[in-house]
Amino acid sequence: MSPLETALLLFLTAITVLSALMVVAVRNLIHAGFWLLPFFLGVGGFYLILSLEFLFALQLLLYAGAVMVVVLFALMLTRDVMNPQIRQTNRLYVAAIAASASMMMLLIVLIYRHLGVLSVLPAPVDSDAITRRLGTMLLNEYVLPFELTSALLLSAMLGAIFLARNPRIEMEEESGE
Amino acid sequence: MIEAITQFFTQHPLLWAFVKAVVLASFTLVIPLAVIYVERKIAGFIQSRLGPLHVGPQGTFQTAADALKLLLKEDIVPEGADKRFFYLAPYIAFVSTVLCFMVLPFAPGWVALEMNVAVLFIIGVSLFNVVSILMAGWSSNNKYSLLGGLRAVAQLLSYEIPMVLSVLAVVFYTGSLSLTGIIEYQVKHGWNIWHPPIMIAALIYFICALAEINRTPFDLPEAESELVSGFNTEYSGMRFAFFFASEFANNFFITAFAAALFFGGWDGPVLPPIVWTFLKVFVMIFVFMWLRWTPPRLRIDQILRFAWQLLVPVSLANLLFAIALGVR
Repeated sequence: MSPLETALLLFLTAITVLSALMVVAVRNLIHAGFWLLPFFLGVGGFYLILSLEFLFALQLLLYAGAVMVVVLFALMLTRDVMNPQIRQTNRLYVAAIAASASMMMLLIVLIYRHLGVLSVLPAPVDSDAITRRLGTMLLNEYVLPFELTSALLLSAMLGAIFLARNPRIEMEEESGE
Repeated sequence: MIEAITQFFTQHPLLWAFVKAVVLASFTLVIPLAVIYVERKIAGFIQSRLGPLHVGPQGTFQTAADALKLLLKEDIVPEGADKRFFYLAPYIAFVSTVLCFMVLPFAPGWVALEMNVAVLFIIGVSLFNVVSILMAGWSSNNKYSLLGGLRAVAQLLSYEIPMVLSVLAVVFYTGSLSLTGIIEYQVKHGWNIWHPPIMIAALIYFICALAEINRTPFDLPEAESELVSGFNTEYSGMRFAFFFASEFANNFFITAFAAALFFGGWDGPVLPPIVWTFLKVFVMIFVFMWLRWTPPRLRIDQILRFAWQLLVPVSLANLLFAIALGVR
């Protein structure tokens, strides 16, 4: 790697790690939501360095929207959102700790196993070919996880719609029209 | 002379990138001057009045004078505002617009960064504009601003989906994610707009584009009569100017994007390619401004219902149509 690339990599790492820390450290929920933005951009930057332009563009596309949705949820679902004295935990913190610890373990194991792969930066490749390969892989080898994910997302969406339906408003609309 | 310059810049790619960045940023600041002047003249024409007349010949310097005024005005920050986010929001809006122009080919070879996923990149980057609106609306600590910001996010996210689907129809039809690739396909095979699935996609894109740049009948985020000025109520001076500039530059961009996707970009006889690009863009901008004085503003629930219950299903069906008829 050239010194410029190393510097860029360090810069991106700093941005990603710092903003990730800020997301969990700031007490204002809205700030936490907006701090996700530099974090996702930093991760996108890694894709760009690996010349995975397709993943970079997808990262921008999906997570810029995600930031807004998170901020909106914080605004609409939190009472007294500006108050820094507000409690930051709820009753489920034990389960949350267990879930994040197991996720962390999983990541550590995965990274340890594939350390050899990760430590070499691949040579610049034809990113069109990568994109095409990604598409064929998703619809051949990984078609089952792909479809399962979409089914999961669909059921989550249906659940959200069901929860968001307010029967009272519905009735008023019917009688009004 | 030109050879020496070319050689100098090939030896110093970083400097060349810097020059391109400066040119793009200035372009994004200058093009709103033209668009705003056109808007004022068209508004004057439609309402049977003259429009700007006194500053410079035919009032051409009016917008420049306005920009100068905004530059000199005091920059007021509300007492209860979330200062850092308040400062940051206009620049995010502006940067997102500049980044859109970065991958836009104006003429063969006239593109700051040739990207083979330009279409996706543009859609992603333009979302940051919405983030900045939400940021501005929230950090102003003003109920009108916040309501404007929330409306903007609801509206823009809803219309983003049919818009992306209609753009994807073009992508599947031409088999390319690169804007240059899409335009070159059209140079060979004729403009996309003449092909049935793309015709529908173009119509959907047109409706969504109106919503994306907050034009009537979708100008809810800054409905003057209801929300004072919407998300930018508390902004003044140069920060307001940045919002304003990025909005009008976006106006230019969204039509330039449409020209590239549907109307063959720089393709056209006799005149040089760059002239064709600008010609197509300004014809479409004229249609947008014409519409501004025609339909009234809709209600937020009507707007969202229209997007989700009509545009999304139609654009999904159209996407399948386009894939079935596409090149591969």
